[in-house]
Order: sequence, then C-alpha cells, then structure tokens
Amino acid sequence: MPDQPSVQNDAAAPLFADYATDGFYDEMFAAPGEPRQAYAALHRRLLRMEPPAFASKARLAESAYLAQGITFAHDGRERPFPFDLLPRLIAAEEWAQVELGLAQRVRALDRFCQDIYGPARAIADGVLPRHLVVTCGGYQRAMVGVEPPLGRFVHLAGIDLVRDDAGRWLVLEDNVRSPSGMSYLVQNRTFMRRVFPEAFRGQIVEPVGHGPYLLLWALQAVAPVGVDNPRVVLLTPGPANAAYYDHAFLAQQMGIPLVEGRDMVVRNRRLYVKTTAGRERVDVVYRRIDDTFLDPASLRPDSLLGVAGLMQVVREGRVAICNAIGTGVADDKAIYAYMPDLIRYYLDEEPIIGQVPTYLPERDADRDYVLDHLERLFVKAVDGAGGHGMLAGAAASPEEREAFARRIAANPRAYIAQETVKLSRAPVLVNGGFRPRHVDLRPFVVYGRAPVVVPGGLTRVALREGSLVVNSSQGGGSKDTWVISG
Amino acid sequence: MMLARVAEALFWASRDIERAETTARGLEVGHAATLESVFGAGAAAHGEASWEALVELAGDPEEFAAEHQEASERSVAWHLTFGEANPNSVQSSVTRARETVRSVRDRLPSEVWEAINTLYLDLADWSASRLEREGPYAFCAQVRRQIFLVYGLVEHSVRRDDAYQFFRLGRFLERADRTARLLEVAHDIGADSAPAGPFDVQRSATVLRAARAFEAFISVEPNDMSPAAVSRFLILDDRHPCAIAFCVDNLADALGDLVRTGDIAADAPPLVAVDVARDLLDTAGRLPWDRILAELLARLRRLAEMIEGAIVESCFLAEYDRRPADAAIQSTLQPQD
Repeated sequence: MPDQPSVQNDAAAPLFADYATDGFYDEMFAAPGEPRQAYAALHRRLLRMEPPAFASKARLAESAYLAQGITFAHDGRERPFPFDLLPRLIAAEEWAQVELGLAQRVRALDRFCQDIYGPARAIADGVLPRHLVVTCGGYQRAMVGVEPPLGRFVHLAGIDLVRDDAGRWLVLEDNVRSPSGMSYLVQNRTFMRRVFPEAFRGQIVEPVGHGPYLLLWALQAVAPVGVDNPRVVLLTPGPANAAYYDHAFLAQQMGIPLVEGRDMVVRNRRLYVKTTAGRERVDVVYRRIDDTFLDPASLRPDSLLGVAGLMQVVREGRVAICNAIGTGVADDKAIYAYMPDLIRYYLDEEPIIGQVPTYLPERDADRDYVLDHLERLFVKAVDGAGGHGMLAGAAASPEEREAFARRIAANPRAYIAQETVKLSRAPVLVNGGFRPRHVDLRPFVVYGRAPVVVPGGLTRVALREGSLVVNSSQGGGSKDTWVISG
Repeated sequence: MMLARVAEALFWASRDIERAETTARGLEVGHAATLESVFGAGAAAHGEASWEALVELAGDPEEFAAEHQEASERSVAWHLTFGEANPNSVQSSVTRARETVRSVRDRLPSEVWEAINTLYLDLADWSASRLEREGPYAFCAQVRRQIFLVYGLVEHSVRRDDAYQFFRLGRFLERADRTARLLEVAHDIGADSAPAGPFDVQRSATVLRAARAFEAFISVEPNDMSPAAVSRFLILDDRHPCAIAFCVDNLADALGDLVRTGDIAADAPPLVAVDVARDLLDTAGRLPWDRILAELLARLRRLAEMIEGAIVESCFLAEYDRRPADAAIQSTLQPQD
C-alpha cells in the first residue's frame, strides 16, 4: 500500500499528529487534515483541546464504566467494556437511507421465518433449496405450524453494517436470535453527556435513550390476544453470562422483572413467575437464552435454564417468546447469501443496502473458488456467533489456511466464505494520541407493529492495530454514535 | 410483585452489608481500646484479652484459632478485614453482598448498585502492609463511610416498595443480633472484674461506641455509666437505631408493610416471631435487670434465628429447588451475538 501523507503535524492539533488514512475510508477525514462535513464542528473543538485534557476525560469515562459494572466477560473475567470517547458521526440525510434499508431487511427476515414455519412458499417457488433451510442450526422443527402473535418472529434485530473503502454501507451479518448491546449504546451516550458535554454544542444530536422503551412497546404489542396489561419478563441465563449487564440494564429500563428459568413454572397450561406471595401469570418472555435451552421437557432435556412445559404453552398461544423460537434459521450465514433474493421475493423491492459477496462451499463451483482463494477470503462457521470460528485468510498462516481448507472440504455446509472488505476506520485514542482503527456499526431494529430503528447504533472498534474483529467477546471496544443534523 | 429469589437476595445482601459495617466498627473501636489500659491493670495481658474479645464479637473464635496462633493486633486486624477463611471478614461480607446485588441490580436504583460496587472495588487498594502502615482506623473509616453512602442512597432514592422492605428486614435483623452479641461479650468480660472506677466508665464507653451510641447515651443518661444502664439502653431504647427495641420495631413495621402490599400473608410466621420479641422486651423492662440480662440476651439471639428461619421458610423457599452448579456453566455458554 502506498504511503499516504499524514495529517499536518500542526502544533495546534497534537491529538491528530501523524494521523494517516492509508487508503482506507476514514469515518472522520475525507483526506488527511480535512474532516468530513459532519465532523466539522467536533474537529474544530478538538483542535482547541490539549491532549491531557482529552485523556483525563477518557479516564473519567473509564472509571464510570467500572463503577457501574458495565462489563463484558472476556477470557472468563469481568472487564469494563472499552469505550472510546471520540464519537462516530453520521449525517442525518445519510442515516435516513440506512434506516429505510434496515427496516426493509428486518421485514424480509421476519417474513422469511413466517414462511418457513408456515406455507414455505419460497421453497416451493424455488428461491432457495429446502435442504439448505432444514439443515440450518437454528431451524426448529417444533415451530412448524406455530403462528406467534401478529405473526411476528423477529422483535429485536441487530444488523451488523460495515463500510467499504468506497464508503458504501454493506450488511455484514444479521443477528435475530438474541442480539446484545443495546445497553452499551444507551450508556455510551449517558457517559458521553457526563464527561464530554461541550462536544454536543453547535449541532443537533438524535437521542437514543428511548431504545429500551421501543423494545418494551414491541414486546407488549405481541402479547397473546385478549390480554390487556400484559406481564412481560426478561429471561436471563444468570449473572455468569457474558452479557448479563445488558440483561439487567434492559430489564431495569423497561421496568420488567429480570427472571431466571427457576423463577418460573408451567401450571394449568400457563406460564407463571414465583413471587413472595405465590404465582403470577406471565404473558410475554423476552428471552436471552438459546432456543433449545428454553424447555427441558420438549427441547433439550439437560437444560437447567429453561422452564419445563413452556413449548406447549407457546404452541397454544398463551405466551409470546421474543424473539420467537426458531429465528436462528434467518440469521444462518448460509441464508445470508440468499437475502437479496428473499427481499425481492417477499417485498417486491430492490435491497436498499448491499451486502458482501458470499460463497457457499456446498455449491460445487463456489467450493472450488473458495479453496483456491483462501488467502483473500474471510471464512466463517455458519453457526459461529460472537466472532468465534473465523478465518481471516489474508492474515492467517499457511498452516491455519490448510487446516481450514480441510475442515471446509470435510463439511462444506458448515462454512461460508466472503470477499474481504476493507473496513472503514475511525480515530481512536491510543496512548494519548489518535490512531486509526477499524470499526463497524450495529444498529438495532425493534419490530412490534412496524419496524423502528434506534438512531445510530453501537459502533464497535477493533482495538488491535490492523485487526478486523470488533466483537466484544473478542476484546473489541465501542464508540458513541451520533446521527446529527445542523 | 416480587420474585422470591429477588427478595431473598436483597435480604441477604443487606445483612452482609450491615455485617461488614459492624465488623469494621468493632475493629475501629476495639483497636482504640487496646491502646490504653482500658481493661484494667497489666495493660499487656488485658490488651490481649480485648483482642480475643474482638474475635468473640465477630462470632468465630474456632476459625480464628485454626488460622492464627495468638490474638494480636496484626492477626486480629487481618482476620477481621481481609481474612479469606473468615466468612465474616469485611472482604468476605462485601464480596458476597456485591455478587448478590449484582444478580438483582435491576431492582435497585443504579446509584445504589454503583455505591456497593465501588465499595467492593476500593477494597483492592488495600494490602496487609498498607493496613499495618496506616492502621485499622483508616481502613475502617473508609469502609464505614462507603457503607453509609449506600444506606443514604437507599433511604433517599428507593421507593418504599417490597424491595425496600426486604432490604430493611435484613439490615435490622442483623443489627439486632449484633447488638445482642456485643452485650453478651461485654457481659462476659464484665463478669470477671468488679465494676468500679474509671476503667468501668471506659469499658462502658467502648461498648457504647461499638454500637454508635456513646454520645446518644450520654445525652440521655449523663449520670450512670454502669454496665446495667448501658445494656438497658442498648436493649430497650426504642429511639436509638442500634438498640434492639428500635430494630424490632423496624422489623415489625417492614413486615406490616409487606402484609399491606400483599407480599406476605397477615398471619405469616415471621410476624408471629417478631411479636414474641416485642412482648419479651416489654416485660423485661419490669424485671430485675441484673438477674435476667444473660437469659434475655440468649433468648433474643434465639428469636433472631427464629425470625430469619421464618422469613426464609415462608417468603423465599416457595416452590424452589436448589440450583444445580452446572446452571452457571450453561449460562456462560449462551451465545449473545
């Protein structure tokens, strides 16, 4: 890669001394020293700021995260969720398009689930092969013929977006099982207001604190028919889970009980929570445990986290599970390859946001291509969540590539391969100065009666230099994300 | 509506926080008392006696003896603050309270959780050498200030709902039990020597300070520092927050509120046990104090156990099986994309 001139080593801008764009799309700079339009006001403010002043704000934010216990378990330890104080800015006009594209995609994902567990028209019409669908790890045979309230399967989606080197938004991955991170999005903004209030001045920033209420409304909207004032609960696997903070925060913000499986019981074909005064009926369960753990009686017998008999209550429509059981079929990485076709098929619209070219090794032509081009591809296990089971071909050693090639050949259905995207970068505070790091964006789409997008999303940062892995379970950090106008 | 598991967590977390404060206060006051010859002539010998009394007060002399050869400033201070083998050390109590509260943090204002979490995180700033260098006072003062911050936040930001009442039950049950224990230990020591002279006053003052009640007592009873007057005050005064009668009133009030909100039944066993304690205190004031004191304290401590048992039995255990240890492992394995 040719060396790019670095940002002027201006005495007034030591925070950006030696900051280079290196031919990547940089979120903040159109060219070295030239901030993009959306960043103009923020950039001016930062130029006036001494590095120690910025660093002390960053430390203040860090101690706030630790005190609040905003942590993510990594390597079996509870760590503060790393937060970078420089926000990521998106202009409102640009966001409006992204928002439409996200809503469109989530409607299609939801329709796909309805169809697959219902009439399966997409299979009959030859849009995608039956065997691909029923071999998805997230496909739940038990849901065939079950129609959840409003027909809704996907109530909360986290659609991971990236920007390529031309600045185009692309969908990298759909998450419609139990996407985590809305708490970080809301709390990033809370701490930002607290430690860096001056950055907000001179522009209009879309608020995000209503995200949990949007979710609550969606959850209430899908209560079983005839239930006014539904009792909604959040089912957590417990404090040992990596995303427990997310569960506790959302339950508190929504004002609903945070329950564990052992707090509930099925009696008289209904679901109840155990209170100090006896049992109370539950109508909607926002669950953060895996499908198969939900009911030891009919799904996974060794589950200690679920409620025996729950599946039957679901089938009889006496309780809504959010997201519905079986949504994992829609965010299977092999189904991803068919998403543009599925959007056209279900909605009769062209996809508004593009996606990364994807190869399915189980198709013969694709497999040959993948095995021949591993050094430039990104390989993912179809059932891998949170950044596990991946191969970044360009960065891997020949031995690692060889090992992956053998695994792909042995079980082609278990993997997909994607062209490597040159992820955009943004400035991140490292040792007192800004350094470019790769970022992605996880916006949240809440879907009750209609899909609603929380403005912006969680910008995730790959903290290691050159790394493309942003997942919090892999030690990634985050930034507050501002949709701004004016 | 209150989940039984949440009620249980709040009750125990509150007890652990109160216990940490009591332990820190006991160490602070006890340490000060060893510096002068409060326990009579022969300061060294009696100094040791008072270190042992501190271990007695914490309630686990056997565990202490298993770990340490002698009760000295160093061994007792460590045992009470960071002793890992001591389930009642400040560190053990705070760690347990923080883990418990973490599992129900959604039921408390975030400031309350933050204060408890900070209390826990700040303990990591202390080491054995720092404790020795700065002395127990600095440590105890820090811990106690942070715990009172928690209490202040609870009082001024928690709605008086069922969560608050279970928190209050834990705090006052623990406090009543600890005050009774303090008086038992004081009584045992007092029985050894004839009460007279300035040492007696010093001893009484120490007991009162250990119950945060020295100034309050002086303002009510300026002329009588006898052990009997002190124990009478710490048991029967219904206006001092550490006195047993005050604690029992709070238990009755908290339970009464839980009945009104429909969280427990009107004839629930904990209410019955609390009524027994109230009757006992009513009658005790009219009996010859010196003769009944030891028996009264023993009965109060048994009642504390009964009340705890009744709360656990009737509020927490409803329909629960014990949670298998493997559940935590499954919990860590739930993918959160």
